Amino acid sequence: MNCIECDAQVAIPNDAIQGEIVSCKECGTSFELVREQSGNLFTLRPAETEEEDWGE
Amino acid sequence: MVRVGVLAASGYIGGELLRLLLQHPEVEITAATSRKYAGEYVFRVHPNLRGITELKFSPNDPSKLTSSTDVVFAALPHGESVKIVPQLADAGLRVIDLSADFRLSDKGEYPSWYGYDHPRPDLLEKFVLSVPEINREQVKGARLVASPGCMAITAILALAPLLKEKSLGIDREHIVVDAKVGSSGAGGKPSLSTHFSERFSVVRPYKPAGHRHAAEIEQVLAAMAGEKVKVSMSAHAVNMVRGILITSHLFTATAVKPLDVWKVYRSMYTGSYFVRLVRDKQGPFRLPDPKLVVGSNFCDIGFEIEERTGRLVALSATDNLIKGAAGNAIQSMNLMLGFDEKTGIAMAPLHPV
Repeated sequence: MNCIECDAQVAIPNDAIQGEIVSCKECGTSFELVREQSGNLFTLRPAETEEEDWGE
Repeated sequence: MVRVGVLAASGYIGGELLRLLLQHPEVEITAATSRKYAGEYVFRVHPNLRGITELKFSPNDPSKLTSSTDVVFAALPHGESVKIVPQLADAGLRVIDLSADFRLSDKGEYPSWYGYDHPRPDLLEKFVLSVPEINREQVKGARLVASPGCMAITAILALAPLLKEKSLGIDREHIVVDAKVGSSGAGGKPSLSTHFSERFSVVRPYKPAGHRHAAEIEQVLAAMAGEKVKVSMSAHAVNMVRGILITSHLFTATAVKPLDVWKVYRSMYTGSYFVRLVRDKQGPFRLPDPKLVVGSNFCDIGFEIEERTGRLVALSATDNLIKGAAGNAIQSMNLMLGFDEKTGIAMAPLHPV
């Protein structure tokens, strides 16, 4: 499965469960795993992350 | 073992070449020259090398180098290298020159950028300006290599893929390169401007326009783009000892998306160990920062897009003495001699520093 931000491969653990948060190794974008209606596969939904003020 | 010599080994780049070459498993340093310190132990000038080598400096004598070395790294100042390196090249030695004297392929550029007519223009076409991540195959076949300036290579690595990819629609006439460099970039010779009281805490715009490295950057980028490219460069001295951050501003004719830029960078740098793409959504180091490459041969590259103005900001960071000088030169030697390009220079950056 590829990251929608940077297109790198996102590793999904074999024992992943619905709602689990995974992050892209390359760009750090976090995703929530959402189970497809067929029941076996997951899709990636961007997870809500807290915005921080980096000194701006 | 390959016998290597370092010409003008008492400066910061010379010291860094010695430090790295002393740990290189395939080479033996047979000469480290210095006019000023001939006869003196190397570790008296480079105290970090105490206990690591008993090597002494020898005089800058090209005829001795031709008999005692197979490869010479020349770390002489601009204008000095061109007086000595031709003798080494003519004698058939492999030479890696770290000055600007053989970087520009057009002899007509030397009077305007460096203020002298090149005395050996025939050699310019024989020297390969080495940015291994871009022209690895050319470097492999070269006997004579010029290593780019520290700010130039840092900018080139971030910009070359973007100029090569036509679909981004980069405006080639308006490329702005903003450099911030640490004090070691000014070399080891002290002056009033490098005096601690004057240098500490500065953000000094020391060359807001007309920096010489623009010539090298334009040369490489034009080759990538297949057309002339114009680079406007500003350089600032900042409060670091090592490190360079280049912030490059490009303007695009079309709306560019982050994914487009990721793909462009990956297409050129996948498999290049020394280039790391850094555009992270987490942690304090989300984009390249010199702090995270110090002590290594890495160049970290990242980017951001300002849709409102059609601006693409490319960021790149290196250790100016390593990927910006000694490390890139040794990487080039590795390729010239058929070694793995990481040999002797694969160390991780320091952290914290």
